[in-house]
Amino acid sequence: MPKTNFGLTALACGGALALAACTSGVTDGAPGAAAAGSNAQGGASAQGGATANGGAANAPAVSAPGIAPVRRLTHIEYNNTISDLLEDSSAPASNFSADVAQDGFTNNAAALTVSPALTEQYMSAAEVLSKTATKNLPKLMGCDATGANEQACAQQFIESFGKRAWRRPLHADESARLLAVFTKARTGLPLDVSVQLVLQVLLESPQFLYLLEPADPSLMAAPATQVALDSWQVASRLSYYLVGSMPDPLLLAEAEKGALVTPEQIATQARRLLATPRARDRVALFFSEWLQLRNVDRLQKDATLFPNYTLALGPLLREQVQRFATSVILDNQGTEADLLTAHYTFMSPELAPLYGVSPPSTPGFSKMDLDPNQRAGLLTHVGLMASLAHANQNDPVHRGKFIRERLLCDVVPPPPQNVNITPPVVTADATTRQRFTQHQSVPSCAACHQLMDPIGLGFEHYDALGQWRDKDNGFPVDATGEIKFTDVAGPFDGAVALAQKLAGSKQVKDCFVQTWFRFAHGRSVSDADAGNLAVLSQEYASHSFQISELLVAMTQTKSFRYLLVPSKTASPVSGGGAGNAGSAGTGGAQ
Amino acid sequence: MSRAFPRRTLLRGAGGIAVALPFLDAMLPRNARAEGTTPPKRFGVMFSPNGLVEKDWTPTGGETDFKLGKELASLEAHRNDIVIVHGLNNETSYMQDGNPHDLSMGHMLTCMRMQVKGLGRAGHIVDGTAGGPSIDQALAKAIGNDTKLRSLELGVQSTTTDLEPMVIRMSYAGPGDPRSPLDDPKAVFTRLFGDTLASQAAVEALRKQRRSVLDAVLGEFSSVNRTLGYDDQQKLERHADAIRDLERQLDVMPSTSCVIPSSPPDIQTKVFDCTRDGRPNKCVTGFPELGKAQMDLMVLAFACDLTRVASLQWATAESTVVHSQLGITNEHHLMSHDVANHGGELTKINTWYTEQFAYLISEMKKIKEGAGTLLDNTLLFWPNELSAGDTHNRRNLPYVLAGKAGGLLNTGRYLQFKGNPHNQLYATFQNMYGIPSTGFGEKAYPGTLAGFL
Repeated sequence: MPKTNFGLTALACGGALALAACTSGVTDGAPGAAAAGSNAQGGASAQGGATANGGAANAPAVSAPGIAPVRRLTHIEYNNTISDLLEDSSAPASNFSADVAQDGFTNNAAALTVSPALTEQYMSAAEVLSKTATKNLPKLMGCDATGANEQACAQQFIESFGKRAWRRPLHADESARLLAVFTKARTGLPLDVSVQLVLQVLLESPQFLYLLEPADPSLMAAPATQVALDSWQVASRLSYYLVGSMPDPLLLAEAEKGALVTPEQIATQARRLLATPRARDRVALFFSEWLQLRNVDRLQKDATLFPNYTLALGPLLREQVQRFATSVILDNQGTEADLLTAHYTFMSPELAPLYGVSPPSTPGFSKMDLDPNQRAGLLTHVGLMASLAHANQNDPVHRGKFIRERLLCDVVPPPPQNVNITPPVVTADATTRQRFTQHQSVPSCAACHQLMDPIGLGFEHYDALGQWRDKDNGFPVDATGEIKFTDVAGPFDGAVALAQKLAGSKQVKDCFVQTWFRFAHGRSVSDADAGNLAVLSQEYASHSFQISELLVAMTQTKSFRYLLVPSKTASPVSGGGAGNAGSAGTGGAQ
Repeated sequence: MSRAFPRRTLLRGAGGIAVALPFLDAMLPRNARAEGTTPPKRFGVMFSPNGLVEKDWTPTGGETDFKLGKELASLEAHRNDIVIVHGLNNETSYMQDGNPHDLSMGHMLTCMRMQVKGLGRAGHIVDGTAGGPSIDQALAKAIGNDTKLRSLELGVQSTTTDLEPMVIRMSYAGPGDPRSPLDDPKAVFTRLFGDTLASQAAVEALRKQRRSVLDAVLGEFSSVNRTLGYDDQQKLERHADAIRDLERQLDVMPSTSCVIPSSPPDIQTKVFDCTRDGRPNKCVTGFPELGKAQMDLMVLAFACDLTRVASLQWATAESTVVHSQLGITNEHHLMSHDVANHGGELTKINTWYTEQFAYLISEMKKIKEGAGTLLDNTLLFWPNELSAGDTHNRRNLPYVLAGKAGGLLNTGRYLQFKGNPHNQLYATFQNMYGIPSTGFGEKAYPGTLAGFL
């Protein structure tokens, strides 16, 4: 079985899977094509998931910080930072070569690479931003730069502005180098242009573009030493985690005092930041990426079956999920059970018909209770249900797979390479359940699909647009389902009952902790994080699974507050390396 | 030297879509190079995804009297300029486990096992990267030193956050160093011509200022580098390398004697009525229009010698593009799993991609260079990451090439191989572009491709 990332439970499907026919025609594989190896495991059953998810069984005796790779700002963070630093809301990064997601999130350090095209875009953006910023030079510099004061003012500006731009006081050699840029420019250029060049250096340097946590080079001889982050580094970690931007003035002031050291000091600031407007954006972003809500934004639905759907509803449906989640967490100090089972949401007049309720009298979103027999929490939101469906029919496979992967952190193997994965044709005489029956009746299909379809069929009361229905093609809806291979395994009837089950699952909670951990640290998890994840799970439980407390607890761990001194030598990776790429400077040539 | 181009370069077509018809024809130098100088050799890649329909793609006949199949039929007009290479294998992609779309795309141009720290959902690689440079970047490293851009990566719908990184990217300068394409023709235009629209004096002043900024920025990179561990050092060093390349560019701008368009192509996507799953629906278009603008820019960049290596990535592997321009209502990837029932639509899509490749060829043939054309001095390579989407087969691959690479390649041929590793084709490419090579990628598959040249 291939190695999976820590914290994910690799499920093995029972039975032989090759050459399975799960909907219609099977195509013969070319020699070798079916031998992917990864999905042909003949394991008898899936592993139980709960203990492998950061459970105490795997925790080392002492929790240590994992390796935290340097990561550059995402484009969202770049825009926010520019807005706070320069009061410039032009959001230039929106036109940069787009960020991609890795392991679920766009802030994953491994995906945040810099191509030559992006380097050019950073340069162009810095040029434009610096021109705008120097239009009001006295305001920007904060001192009198006329006449004999010029050099002193420049120096003062570099130190004060530099401290905000690089999120820590500049070292003496750094400010000297920046002053040299200014002085050299000044020999031939006007004052404002010279300041522009200094700004450009500040904005294109790694100290601005990356979250850097430099280690003392003398410690690198003994890598894996644990060093507490200093207050400036903690300020940046806190700020980019909770508000996605540079530290605000209050946080910078605490860092200046060296007052971001103890867990209590850090928790106080975390709570303060969570109450700011930007925290709402950050939590909304977490849900957008975790639940792949961009698929809701651009939902396409069969216009004959769903004449009431227009493309304009997609973004509203996405916003509704985000408003619900941020409100549960930040306004109501809700628990994970609230997130999964609350029977209210935020309704706009446009969306009310999709829920079969009378529209609120005011435009925009207002809080509204929903029928507790029909809707429960996050999962039964119209947008989410609709995004986990085809244009013209329900998709129990992907609804089940979503629960498995996003809620339980399980890894479902990919379908065999030669299997037909197109959905069954919709006919007037069959229900969804009947159309997908082959997934259960053919043993080679059932081996894997038993992990997904029986969960997804529990959502049969929601049509392909997420609307409640009692009839499917004229037949009464059967929304019975079963969830297997988890700590809350067993049959259930309908999504409301499933949500209750999931709300009581330790595996779901551990998965939620692990997912937030990835987002908070901007990286994937590894075995080294097991101890911290176990601590977090205990903390979460001790706060009755109140999510905002989990968000604060995230800042209290060794992993968040300490740096593991990195090594000066390469770490081993599997896979590539057998070739001779790059030798002799030709790249790829043997 | 003429720089500003006074007239509008675009006409607004019916339905609100700006068409770029006169864009290329009006701009290009009829003979950009002085007679007697040897034109440079270029290398271009055009990628289209999800395999082909073998019975409709495969030519019949022999090496020179071949008859094109249905999917490639529109290349008949260019049969003397192409080489069809059938039957090579992406063997290295079978050397490791993982999702077939990661494997096919991650190996397609690199021929190296990917670096993998773990497998996530559906066997996708988590926290991994390519094992080595892709062939286009290996060539760019050698032949990209004299042009403004070492290489140019263009896309159409090549960026999505729904798919894993290894499925999205094909071009890498090395591990951890993907070359992400720009999907926006305006952004490409800015890369190519953003600096050259100002007056010569302004360009000189800008160049001087940029040099002083970039020098200082590089100083900061080396200053922070000593405080980082190995992996982070490597990451920042790659960024610093890109900045060094930006400095190098300052020496080669402004570019050549090309007539520069005054404005970027203005392509707008729009929503229109269509059918999906056989039902009325709303579709979004712009795919063919964006692609044409990108192809025009690629030809322009070659013709103006702004770069000698370029790639156009129409979509990602596992492409979910709905080809509504062909009246098709299902996602490409979904249909590619079911050739039996969707063969007609898949052939339609591949036939359309062939027409795009033919367009690229014909535009490059319009540019006279020395005694021949731009195409004669180029090698255009059109790979697909799979031979068949339903089996995810990465053997018996369908590759098409066009252009003579400065006279090194005899064209007008259909070559059938019996499972040679495609590494050998790329090693041959290296030799053609002046890189002595006895193999590309994994050592397990050495050699050059006998019978190709």
